[in-house]
Amino acid sequence: MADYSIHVLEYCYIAEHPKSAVMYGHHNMGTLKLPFCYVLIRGSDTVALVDVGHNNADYGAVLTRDYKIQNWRGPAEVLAPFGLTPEDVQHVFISHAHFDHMGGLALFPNATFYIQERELSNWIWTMSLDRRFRWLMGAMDTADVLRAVDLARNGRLVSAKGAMENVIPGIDLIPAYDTHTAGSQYVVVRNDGKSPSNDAWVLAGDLIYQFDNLDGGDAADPYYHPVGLANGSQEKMVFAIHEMVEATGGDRARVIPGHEHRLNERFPSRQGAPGLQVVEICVASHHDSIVNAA
Amino acid sequence: MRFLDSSDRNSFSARPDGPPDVATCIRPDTTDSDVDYALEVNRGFEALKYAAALLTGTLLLDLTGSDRTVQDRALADKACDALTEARDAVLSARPRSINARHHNYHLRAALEHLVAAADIASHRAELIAGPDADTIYAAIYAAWDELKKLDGLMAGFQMVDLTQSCCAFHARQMTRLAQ
Repeated sequence: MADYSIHVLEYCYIAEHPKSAVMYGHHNMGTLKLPFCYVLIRGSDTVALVDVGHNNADYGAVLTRDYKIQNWRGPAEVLAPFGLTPEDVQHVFISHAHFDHMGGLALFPNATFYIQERELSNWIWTMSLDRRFRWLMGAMDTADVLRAVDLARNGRLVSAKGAMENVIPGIDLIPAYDTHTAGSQYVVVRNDGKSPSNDAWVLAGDLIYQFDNLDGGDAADPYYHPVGLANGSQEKMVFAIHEMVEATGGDRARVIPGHEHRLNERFPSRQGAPGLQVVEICVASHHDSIVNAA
Repeated sequence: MRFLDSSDRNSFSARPDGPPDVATCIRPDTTDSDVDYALEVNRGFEALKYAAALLTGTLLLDLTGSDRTVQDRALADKACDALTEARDAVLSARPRSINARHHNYHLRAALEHLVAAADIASHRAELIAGPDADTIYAAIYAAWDELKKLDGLMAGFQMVDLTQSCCAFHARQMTRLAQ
């Protein structure tokens, strides 16, 4: 039986996003909905998240307004269907330092945050470059550095130097260097507690935006198709996708993308915060389905 | 951690790639003298922002026990260079209106805080383990607070350049498609 329940929580979305942003090189192929999400992992006495979304304040609010991000909801609303508050979150695994994954650091006042050291140090190196290199700072908010300093001073920021197995029992953080970002990482939940696991789920962050990245849109003859944005290498991204699939024992259906609007076609779902979706990936033996309860 | 030695700001001083043209984002109630002032200090503001980011980054690398070798020295040196540039621009500016003087007051305050922080950073190998940890932390925080006030006083002094985000790019693309 599963040790952890896993749910993908949508907290806002862009209604029309170019497909080329999701599938590298797919230009002039229309638009699709891009949900922004974080993932809730609940154990018997554990509450963890993969990423924290962005805060709709300061420059986060500017991003929301200028880039047509719709229906932003704070974590109190997003977590409400589970009877949880942001204060209940104990661990946050940051997949990478882009604003929509890390901008909400201040929203979870009791959590300890885990991020790859290379992501932090490369981010700071990027900040030190001349304006001509500012594309490298693309989706980052420098104010997050100050928030990270706050966390580190309070002992709430763990910088991982490589893989961290059993960061909490049955959960591993695996780096995918020089892919979407310099120090991206993905999360493996071994829901039987074993290694290797027969019940593993991979939470991919932005190493995969949508299902099409896993099979190229061709389930009959699948191939790995990288996402549209890579500060690192598309080649390394492709191999990272393969590595994630292998971590599940070869089952692509167990790799959960970071921005997929069709999760509800493959997993049970319900409305969470108004106009937003909660998708139930799996339910632990000690939890009830929140989809059936709705 | 890789660090490019060729990334020095002095290597890239061409004006066409400099900070955004503040004259293009002037508010309706802004006087000509305010425009002159904004043009004078904008480069200083950019340098202060840069120094603040570097010093904060240095602090973060210390706090997280990053495997740093030469790059921390490079970060502190770059911050000091940026502060020299900022000081020249900020102290030589001539704010005439009340608004500009108010703006310049906060700019100078940010400069003072950052100079204090950089002075500590340039003399200590381990910022956090040292006796000045609280001092440098407080100075950097105070500088960020001062810098964040500036955009509210005069347009063109934003702390974050959002124009390069992927969302911005796609938003522009969507606008073009709509046309």
